[in-house]
Amino acid sequence: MKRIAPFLTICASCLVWAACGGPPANYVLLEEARSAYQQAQNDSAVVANASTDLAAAEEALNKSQALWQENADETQINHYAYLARQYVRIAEEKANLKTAENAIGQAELERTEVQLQARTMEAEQAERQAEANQRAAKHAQQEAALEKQEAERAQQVAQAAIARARELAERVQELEARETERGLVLTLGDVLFDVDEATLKPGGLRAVDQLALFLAEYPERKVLIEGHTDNTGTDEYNHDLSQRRADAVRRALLERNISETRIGIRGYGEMYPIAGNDTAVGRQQNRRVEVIISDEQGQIPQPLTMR
Amino acid sequence: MKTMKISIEGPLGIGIMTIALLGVGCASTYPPSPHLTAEMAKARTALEQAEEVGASEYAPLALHNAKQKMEDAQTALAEGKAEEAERLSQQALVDAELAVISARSAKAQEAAQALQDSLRTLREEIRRKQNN
Repeated sequence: MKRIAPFLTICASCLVWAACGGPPANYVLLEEARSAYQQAQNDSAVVANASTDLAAAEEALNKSQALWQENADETQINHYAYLARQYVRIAEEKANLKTAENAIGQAELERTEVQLQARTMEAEQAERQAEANQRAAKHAQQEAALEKQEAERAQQVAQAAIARARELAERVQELEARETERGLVLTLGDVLFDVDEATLKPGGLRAVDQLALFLAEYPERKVLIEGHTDNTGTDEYNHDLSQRRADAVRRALLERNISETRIGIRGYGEMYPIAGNDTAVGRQQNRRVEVIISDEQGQIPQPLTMR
Repeated sequence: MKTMKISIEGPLGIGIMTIALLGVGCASTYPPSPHLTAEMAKARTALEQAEEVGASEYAPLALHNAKQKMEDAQTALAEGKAEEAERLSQQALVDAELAVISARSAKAQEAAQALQDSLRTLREEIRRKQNN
């Protein structure tokens, strides 16, 4: 009797336990399905985009749960758990799809924006390039105009120089001066002076007028007035006369407002004849005053030396 | 007792036949119930749709799974296991639906990625041109 009691107790408790219908075994698939469902429920994107699929999952889950509590066939419990699990997966993929579609929409909007940006930038660059080209063209034009101006100016300068040279030649011709190695030489002959005197006759004065005009027009030029005689009379006398004649020309120039710093005089007497003293003509030729006109720098290249 | 002659022809006859056959039980090799036929048809349609949306390329695993399930359902049906066939065809249906949505999702994600890549390239090009 005592041995049967514990046995009976165990049997009874087994029966009671079996009768309660509590969880006899853990169904992994159901657990997985339940946990997956919970997770999906907490995902706002899934809830927003796949509520019908989640509802189907819930229904299947509840069925599975109920069957499990009834201790129904394992195959049936697992079947609905499987369906629930797949519905949850479907819901998640639907949410992924929606997310991707949103991303596509967003990207397409941005692409339109960026393409517009690119096109605007290209247009601006083209405009800037056109402006730069225009500026460059204008600049080139201006430079060409400047060059033309400069060329014209250079031509004018050249022409002016030519005109001046022509003028000078004319003046020199008016002056009746000769071009020599020492410069321009104006010879005032004997006839322009009173005989044996150092007084300029009207003709001589007219010659000095011309010279003064020339010197006024070309202020950088200087003169060296050299007096010469023939060989009649003493050296001393001739030297004196030649000096006095040269000086007479000088004084005449001074009277005509030519600065004395521009005038030099020399008396050479009979030292430098230009013709033979044996004839009257020759002697007259030797009786002269030579006015040597300097170059533009005021230089008289070769001082008179013994010839 | 009067003997009633029951003839097989006529609506009554067909009715009796059907009841008799149903009475034999699920272990019959006779063509499936309209309900089961409809279920299997739904699953097959979903499978076709999965193929059409490119599941073989974009969700090969899910597609394979669904196809396998459909074959198992057909095997069960051939073996006369109507209940199992129904369960398996229901599973094949959700498997096929999952294959469909997985393929569409994968395609969209690929498209989104491609778009974002080309957008990035476009932006870089602009940046380069601006710096010139």
